[in-house]
Amino acid sequence: MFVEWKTVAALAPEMVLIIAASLIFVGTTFYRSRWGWLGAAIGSYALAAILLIAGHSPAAAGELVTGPINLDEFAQTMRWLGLATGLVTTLAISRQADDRLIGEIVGSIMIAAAGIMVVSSANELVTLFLGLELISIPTYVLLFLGRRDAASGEATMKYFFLSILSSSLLLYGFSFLYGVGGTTWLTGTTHFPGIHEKLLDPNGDPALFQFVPMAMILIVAGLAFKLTAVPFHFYAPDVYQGTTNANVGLLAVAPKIAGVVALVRILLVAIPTTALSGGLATWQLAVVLSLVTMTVGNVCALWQTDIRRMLAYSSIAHAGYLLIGLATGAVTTGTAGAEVFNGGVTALVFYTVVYGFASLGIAAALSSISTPEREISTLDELAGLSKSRPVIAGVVAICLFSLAGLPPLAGFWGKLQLFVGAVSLATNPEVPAPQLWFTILAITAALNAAIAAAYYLRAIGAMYFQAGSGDQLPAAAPAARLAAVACAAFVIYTGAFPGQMLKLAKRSEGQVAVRSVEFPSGVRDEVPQFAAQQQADGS
Amino acid sequence: MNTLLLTTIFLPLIGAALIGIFAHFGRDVIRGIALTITLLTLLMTSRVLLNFEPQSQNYAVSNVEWGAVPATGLTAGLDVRFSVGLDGLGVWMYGLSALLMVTAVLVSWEAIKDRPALFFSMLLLLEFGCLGVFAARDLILFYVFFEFTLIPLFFLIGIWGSEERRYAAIKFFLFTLAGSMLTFLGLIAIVIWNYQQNPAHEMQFGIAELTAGLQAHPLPLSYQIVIFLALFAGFAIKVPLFPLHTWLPLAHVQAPTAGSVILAGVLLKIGVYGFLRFSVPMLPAATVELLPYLLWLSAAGIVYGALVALAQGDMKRLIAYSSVSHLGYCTLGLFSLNALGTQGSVLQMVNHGLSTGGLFALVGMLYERYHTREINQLGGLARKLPVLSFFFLVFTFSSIGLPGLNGFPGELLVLAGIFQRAFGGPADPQYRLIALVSLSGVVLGAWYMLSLVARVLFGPLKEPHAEGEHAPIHDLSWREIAALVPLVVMAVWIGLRPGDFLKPMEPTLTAIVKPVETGPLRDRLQQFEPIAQYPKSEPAVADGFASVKE
Repeated sequence: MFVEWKTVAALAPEMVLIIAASLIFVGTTFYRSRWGWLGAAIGSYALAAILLIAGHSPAAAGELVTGPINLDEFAQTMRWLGLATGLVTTLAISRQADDRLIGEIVGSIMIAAAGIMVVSSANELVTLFLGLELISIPTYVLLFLGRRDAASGEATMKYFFLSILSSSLLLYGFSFLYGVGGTTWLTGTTHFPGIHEKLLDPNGDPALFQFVPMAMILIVAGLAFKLTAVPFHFYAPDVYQGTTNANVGLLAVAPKIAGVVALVRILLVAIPTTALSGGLATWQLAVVLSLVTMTVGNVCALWQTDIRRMLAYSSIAHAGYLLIGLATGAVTTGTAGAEVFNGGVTALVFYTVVYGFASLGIAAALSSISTPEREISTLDELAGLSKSRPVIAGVVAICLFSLAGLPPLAGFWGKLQLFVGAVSLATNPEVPAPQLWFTILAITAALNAAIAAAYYLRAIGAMYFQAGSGDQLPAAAPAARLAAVACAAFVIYTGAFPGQMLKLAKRSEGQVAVRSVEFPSGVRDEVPQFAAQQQADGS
Repeated sequence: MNTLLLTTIFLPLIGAALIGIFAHFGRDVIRGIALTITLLTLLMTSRVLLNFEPQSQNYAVSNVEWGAVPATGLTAGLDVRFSVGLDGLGVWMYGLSALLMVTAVLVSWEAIKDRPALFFSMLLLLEFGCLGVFAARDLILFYVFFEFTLIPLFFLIGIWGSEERRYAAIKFFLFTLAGSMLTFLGLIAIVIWNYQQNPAHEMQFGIAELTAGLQAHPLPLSYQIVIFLALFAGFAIKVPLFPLHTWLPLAHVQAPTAGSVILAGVLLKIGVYGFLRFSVPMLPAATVELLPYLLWLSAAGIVYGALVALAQGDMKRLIAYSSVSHLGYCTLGLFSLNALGTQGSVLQMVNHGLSTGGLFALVGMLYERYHTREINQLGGLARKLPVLSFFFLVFTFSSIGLPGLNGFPGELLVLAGIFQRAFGGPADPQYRLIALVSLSGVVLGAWYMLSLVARVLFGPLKEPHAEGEHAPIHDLSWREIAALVPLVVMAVWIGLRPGDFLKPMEPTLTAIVKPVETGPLRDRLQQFEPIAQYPKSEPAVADGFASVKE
């Protein structure tokens, strides 16, 4: 395996984050300073952002495939989201974190952010897995560092064991995929086929292809854990409840981004629908998971009195919504091997971004009024917040309304995209099989939106309609408040001016799709230097 | 011209922002800004309305790309536009929204002491939503405003309402949202069908394009019925049609006065407006097919609302149920599916906004004085509060349709519409029963309103507490009179010269019912229901009157 300089350069932002995190880990043992390490962390995010901008010239968008790395628009969007997740969580935790642990905490967050970014650009099974573990391992540390009581310990243990289990399922699935494809690359070129090309090869061995559905199911199971899809959701409420508000933001967003990216790259791109035998299609699995996940998530959330438990179930429900996008994208409406995605990937990208910012906003807002001694936990503690902390209450209300999908906030456009995708399959007579299923899916999703509104409104009602209990809340931490306000501003801006973000999501889908559509005509060969290098290596 | 309409829509939004900025300057500044902004909006709105060109399809249109997504490869793009403009259907409701908002600000002048900045900015946001709904020419934009109105009203009811306000606010929100999510699916299905029929490069969301597209390529009947029911879920809850009305009395009773005024005056009409804008022109076959059910529901609403109103002891609750009854007239006229009925329906929307808006404002003023809304605790107020009683009587007469006031032409047209449908040619005989049943609503309406007036305004003076136990009771102040006078002026104007209002809306409404008045759908409308079961009466298909005699 060789590594091109181009690959190294492309991964510069991730490297900056990981190197900085390592330096912080080491440095913090010698020198303790809350604002020093926070400042260092924020500086590294800024540097990573600059490198991200510099490394992404618009002309190269979608064309830059260097071995294990794939820098299309989809990857870029998710990398930015990963960076934002890290930055917001760092700011959210700024006041709350223990003075002696601040270095470890910000360092772990940075590594998780780098993990999201690695997953986003991975075009190779091992890199993808590496990225996923880069997210999981610091999360164990963060969960444990957040608080030190029995609940926190239980949460960490639960998360740790289930996460390991899901990783092993995923690896098992990957190994089948590797066995069938003979390569770890997800997509390649005509000369150097990846799994996608191998599975499309008409001369492939049908006996081997029988393993593809098994690989698919194992991978879905492994990733469903990251997405908190039912029935792999059991850990979420306990883990969320047992940790801090700031960590909830990271937990709700980081694994979701990773899960979405991996689902798109593996299930939609690497495994073409034609390669699946035995009458099993990806969309069937996704539809059933989606129906169950959103309903269970929303219905269970109705009874919660603990905010973080409620947010956990809400995040489960949103996983169900995301799976609509996957289901829509997985239905074949083009010719064989030419996946079209039906707007499913556009919806996924858009929804992940707006969901991410809304969740981060809530987490940062709640974190800003929590102290190490007192973590805001129950809905009753929010009573009267609109009077005592109007800005924080406003941010939480805006983010909750956005999660509920109300216009004119960003969440509405996410729902619109998902519904357009599902309804266009439900009314498309050319794809008879899924018609009924997508009708059921669309109606269930619509009713679920109303159920979801019920518990979001309860939280908003507590903040705005109830009188405060009189006990003093701490003044909002400035850094966390800044992060929360920025998230809310993003939610409002994207809701009022959705054009840019929608176009970005659409371009992402286009670039992910192009890869599949243009094979096997043989003309596509966009990385000549790389190909030449490979040939040179081979000869 | 284009920018003027756009400015009127965005002015309240700017006002809300201004209130946010000047929130620290105290209540006087805040309500001053609110009043200035609403008056300015009203002024500019009247300028827009005075120049209204009924024949023009493109009056005051602004059209900019908004949520557009380009098409890539094989997948369609979306062409969501921020497109506003007025036509005969929306024009008067647009004006009414601007007018009632001034009343709403004036009636909240003294009543709102808790967090006035939030209150008035919510009120202005609500105005932004109301104006936007009636001006939207893009399906998604319509839906955005439609849903957006929920948020400010949710806060208005929940923060400044009466005792059960939390429950009322959440019930109102969830009821409406549950329905409108299905409506959303229905609207998307319409867009997608239209796209699949004319696979252009991008999905069209313009309401005019969609209407034209669906009339050129009608949906199959089974699809139409499913989509109609989806749209029905949202619009019927909003109206509210019997039996989906249960959220309304609760919301009305718990809402602050300004909230009730806007809820009754403007927001309920969005449902009727939605039927006229989407269901009837886009899904005419389903409308015709489901017509008996729709008319029966309307008639049931008229009678049920009126009967329940008769039994109420709370003034606000009484007026809330009278709204159910009056909105029944609106839908009855609209589902008469002829020019008379639809014109009556739209006029009745405006009328109900004026009279019920006025009545809710007056009940609020009484409540500020006596802190009760119980009819039993009040009596003979005409002696003590002559000015208030005068306005109360005017709005009562307007509400029951006294000739010379606005209620009369509205109810007359609606009833003329349904009678024309039932008796004016071959038609399903049950329509005749519906027409007669709905006629009884006129009598019942006069009954409950007049008995309310008789008990509260006349007879021996009765006050909830002895003199001295509460602050001295004064008659209406100039501010309160200023809140009511514009409504009375409009009521008299519509009552005396309804033509001024009917003519501008005629071309649009004629176009809306045109698909039903011609071709196979007209024949379907004029058919008797169980043709197959009565083979003997086959000639009856041609001549409707013959079979009734049999």
